[in-house]
Amino acid sequence: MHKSLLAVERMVFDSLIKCEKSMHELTRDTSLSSSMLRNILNSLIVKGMIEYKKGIYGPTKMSLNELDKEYDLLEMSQGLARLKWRENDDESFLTLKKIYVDKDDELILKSMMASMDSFVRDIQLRQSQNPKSHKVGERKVIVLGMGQYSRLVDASLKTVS
Amino acid sequence: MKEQKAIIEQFKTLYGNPTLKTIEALTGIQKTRFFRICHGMEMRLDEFLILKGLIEKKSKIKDHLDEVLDNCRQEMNNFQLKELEIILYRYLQKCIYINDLENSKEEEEVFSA
Repeated sequence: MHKSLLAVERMVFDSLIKCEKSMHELTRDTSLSSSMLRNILNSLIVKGMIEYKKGIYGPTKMSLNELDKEYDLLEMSQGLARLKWRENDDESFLTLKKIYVDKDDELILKSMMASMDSFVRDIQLRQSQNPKSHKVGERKVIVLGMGQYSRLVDASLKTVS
Repeated sequence: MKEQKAIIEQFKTLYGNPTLKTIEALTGIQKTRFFRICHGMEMRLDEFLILKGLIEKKSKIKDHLDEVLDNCRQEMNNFQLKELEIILYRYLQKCIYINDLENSKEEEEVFSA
């Protein structure tokens, strides 16, 4: 059995990392149906990611391995692409550009991406101080990245998706 | 009757134990009618032919998938096969979650009706 998490399992795990919860609280926080949630919780227990004590579920570890992070990014990006390009979802934003960027523009681009990253980290930090301020299912997913085309193509040949 | 039971079982297995709603969409046979057939009511010839046709169609897809998997075994190294196995396993897990969800929705509909 593979222990890597699916995005839907990851969301439940993220919810429990915020704070331990009962089944009812998890349903509210994730907006998942109770039947699906039950299956996911069982799977997470089998994978050794969470434990169940006196009606409350809690994480057994606080972070994920690199492979889980890679799968998470992959599934979130695929979800975003599906919503945007196949289901014409107006609320999702996604853009993919392949352009040549000269040294000056690259510096500007990197600096803008760094400030965007720092802005998002600030929000994350504020929220971590008050974990009950929001539902995990209402979070926004932001994907930000840049790489050299030929190197990305090389890397993509080594992955199955 | 034995043949009827066998063809229904074969159909359900090949289509991953579909919900009655899915069966209705696939076959055009009404949910309640299919439910009764599963519980002993005799199947009509046209219904038998629909199920038989769908089984044949699915078997062809299955054969093709088996062929692709055989090619994978020949062309891929162990590392690549391992990656493929993980991807397939993850996709299978997703399908199980979705099927369970659809089944439970249907159960809720039946109970609330």
